[in-house]
Amino acid sequence: MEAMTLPDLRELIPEATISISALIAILVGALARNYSSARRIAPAVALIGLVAAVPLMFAVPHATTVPTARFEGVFVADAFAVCLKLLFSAVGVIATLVSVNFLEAERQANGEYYGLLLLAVVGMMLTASARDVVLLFLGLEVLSLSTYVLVGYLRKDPHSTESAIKYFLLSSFATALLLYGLSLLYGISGGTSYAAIRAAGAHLSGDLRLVAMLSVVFLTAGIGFKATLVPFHMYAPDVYQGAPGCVAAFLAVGPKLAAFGALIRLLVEAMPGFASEWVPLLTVVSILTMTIGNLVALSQSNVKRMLAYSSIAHAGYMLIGIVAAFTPGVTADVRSQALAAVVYYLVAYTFMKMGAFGILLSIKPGDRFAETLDDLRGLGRRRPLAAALLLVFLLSLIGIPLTAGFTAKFYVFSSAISAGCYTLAIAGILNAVVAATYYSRIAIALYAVEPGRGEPYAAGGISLKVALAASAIAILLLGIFPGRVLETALQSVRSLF
Amino acid sequence: MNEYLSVLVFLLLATLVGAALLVLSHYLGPRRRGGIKGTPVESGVDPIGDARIPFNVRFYLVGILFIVFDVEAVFLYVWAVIYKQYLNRGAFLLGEMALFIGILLFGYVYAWKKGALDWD
Amino acid sequence: MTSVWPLLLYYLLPLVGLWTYRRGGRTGTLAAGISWFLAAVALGVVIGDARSFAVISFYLLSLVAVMTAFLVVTGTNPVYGALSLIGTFTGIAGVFVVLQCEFFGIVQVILYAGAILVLYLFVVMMVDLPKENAQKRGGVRGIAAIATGLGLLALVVKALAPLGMRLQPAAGASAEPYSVRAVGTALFGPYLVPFEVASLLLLVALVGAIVLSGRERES
Repeated sequence: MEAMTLPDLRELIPEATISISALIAILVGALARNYSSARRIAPAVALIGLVAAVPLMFAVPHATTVPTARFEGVFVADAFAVCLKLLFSAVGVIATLVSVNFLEAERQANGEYYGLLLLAVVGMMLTASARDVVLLFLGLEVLSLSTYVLVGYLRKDPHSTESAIKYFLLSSFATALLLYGLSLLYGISGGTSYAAIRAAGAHLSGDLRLVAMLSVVFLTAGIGFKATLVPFHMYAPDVYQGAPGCVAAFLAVGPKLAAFGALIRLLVEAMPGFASEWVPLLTVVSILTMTIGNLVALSQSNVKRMLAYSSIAHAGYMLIGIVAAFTPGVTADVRSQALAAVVYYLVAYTFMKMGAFGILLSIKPGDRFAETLDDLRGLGRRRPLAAALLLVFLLSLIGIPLTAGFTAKFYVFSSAISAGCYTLAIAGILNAVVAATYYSRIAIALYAVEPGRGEPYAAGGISLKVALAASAIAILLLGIFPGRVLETALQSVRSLF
Repeated sequence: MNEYLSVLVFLLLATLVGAALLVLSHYLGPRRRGGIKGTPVESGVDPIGDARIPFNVRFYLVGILFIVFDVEAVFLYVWAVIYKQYLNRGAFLLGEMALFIGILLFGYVYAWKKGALDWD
Repeated sequence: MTSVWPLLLYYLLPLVGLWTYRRGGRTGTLAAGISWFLAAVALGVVIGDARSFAVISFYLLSLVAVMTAFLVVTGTNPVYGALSLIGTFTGIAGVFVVLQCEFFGIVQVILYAGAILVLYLFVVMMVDLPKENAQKRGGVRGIAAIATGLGLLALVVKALAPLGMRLQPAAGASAEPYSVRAVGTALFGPYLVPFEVASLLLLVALVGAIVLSGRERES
């Protein structure tokens, strides 16, 4: 009788905790008689689950301390995974805090909302820990399936339904491409684990090069959809615009973080042998992504769409770091610094993007939440605090020194230069200049002298304020004292090699 | 592969017999066309209107429930086959399946509580 | 390089399907597929060699799958499309059996041809797309789509053709890598995490369907 190898289940405790709180939240949604009785319980359950998962991540033995178990198993909780999961928990917490007021304003029953949000976070965590394409795929699907429902959560709002259908159809198509790429990869390596793929990639014969190229293209398409890489970015502005505001805040960050986390682990652990296929492709995709994202953002008057295009552009900046890390001939030091820069960028991006989307939920001119530039005009005098917070997020998105956005861009561009990717670095810097113009359009509108139409009034409750203030403080702290986080990112990335 | 030969012979025979019956009745049987014989049979109901009426979304919910528990049944089958082989790990295997079914059962309870199973 | 020709021929079969489709409609296409299948059975019995038998069965079963898939894509009536999909699933199930993954063949029939197809039909009937609205595809976009598809096909053929069309298991593989026992040992052992995650995925699907269909008590 052959022995059965079993995974170390203790490593799964954080995911299990969040899943259990998701189930409780869903149960609250089912048992609540009307929307008001559950509206405080479900978000509280969600917050407790997300926060409780954080210490539990450190309670498990890390794979870094057991080097013999390095490339075994389907699931791993090494320092890299834990680092990303901390960030994912933060994303979940901010998304929960941002959602409370929105759902109350829309008078939506919310148990299922928080349950699905938590399950989406679980999906993200699983992709960060996946060491087998089966688990990678399942994690991405748990994330996607939950977000489809969240996007269409306002059933009576045709915009919400429309963007849910759009998102669902296009995302399914991307998933099919991803699966095809994974099946080609399985064909090459004869296994689904990253170890098997790595072994096969180490000595690819000439016959298999073309298959490898095809699989890399399909993987880039499938993962690139989640990360909104050009040309798989088209859905983002439409979906973010139509989705409920709080879901847009999550959607602009969650799937992107999961995709980049998965991409990094996939490249380092499974596909270093495929670098000659990845690097040229990702170089072109990176330049296209930031350029198209920024150029189209210039002509937007809807702030939600503008932020969507800016999130596309930011995905391009993050790719610079990944390309720099896998450029042939870089030293191990440069490589881990480039990847750490990407991780740092992910952290900075989370706070500035969720903050910017969150601010829109605190301004409600008329009967809907702020969306256009006109809605924000003259906000500086009516709501000085909200305007100041938005200004912080915008400055960070531009990349002004002393904000997280600046340090993130600085690390990514300098890692590109030390890896010798000068084209990418120059393209990134030029793009950052272009991007500054449209962000400043928002900033100018904020402090415009002539008042806009309508009287903006406060729609934000205490939880939204806490989330926004915490994001702004995080951005400033990251910008002024970047060392600690960068060091953590560096250590987490080193655990991969 | 050869163990499937009998299956294929069976398939071949079944197709041949089916086709033969159809062909034979086509040529041998008497035929009278027209009149009431041409109207579609709808179990005593007058066949009027379009067959493509929109279905209620409840059918879809039942369909989803069916899939969920169909998948569970497939996994249960695999589980039952190997259970005896790994009796030394029996408690662990039982726990795995209990967790899996528990999560799905939770979904079932949820559907029940939400009234997704009510038909009015 | 010899294997390029069967592969090319194989992927040209949808064109054969198109031809029969124009000539005699869908029934003709299905009839052509079925007669090819029967011919394969006869041929296999005559030759009597297990391996060529498997190769022939593979081609013909996948012929059924490809042809019915073609009907799904080209048809304008979504109900017929869903029904044609049964043929695709059955063909794929047959391919699994030929590849000695009987379990997956059966699962293919039970889950796809059984459960998922019923769901497709419900969705089609729920959406209630009138026949007139289901327009024929065509125009510049159609041509571009076909050109892209054929280009991709050429790439895939070019990539896979040199690898040969071997059906026998790779050397060193265990005797029954896809038996129910092997699947179970993997699923409940090292793949325990994906297995439990699958239940979460199903739960999300269930909850999502109920949330979106809006079957909740009015408060």
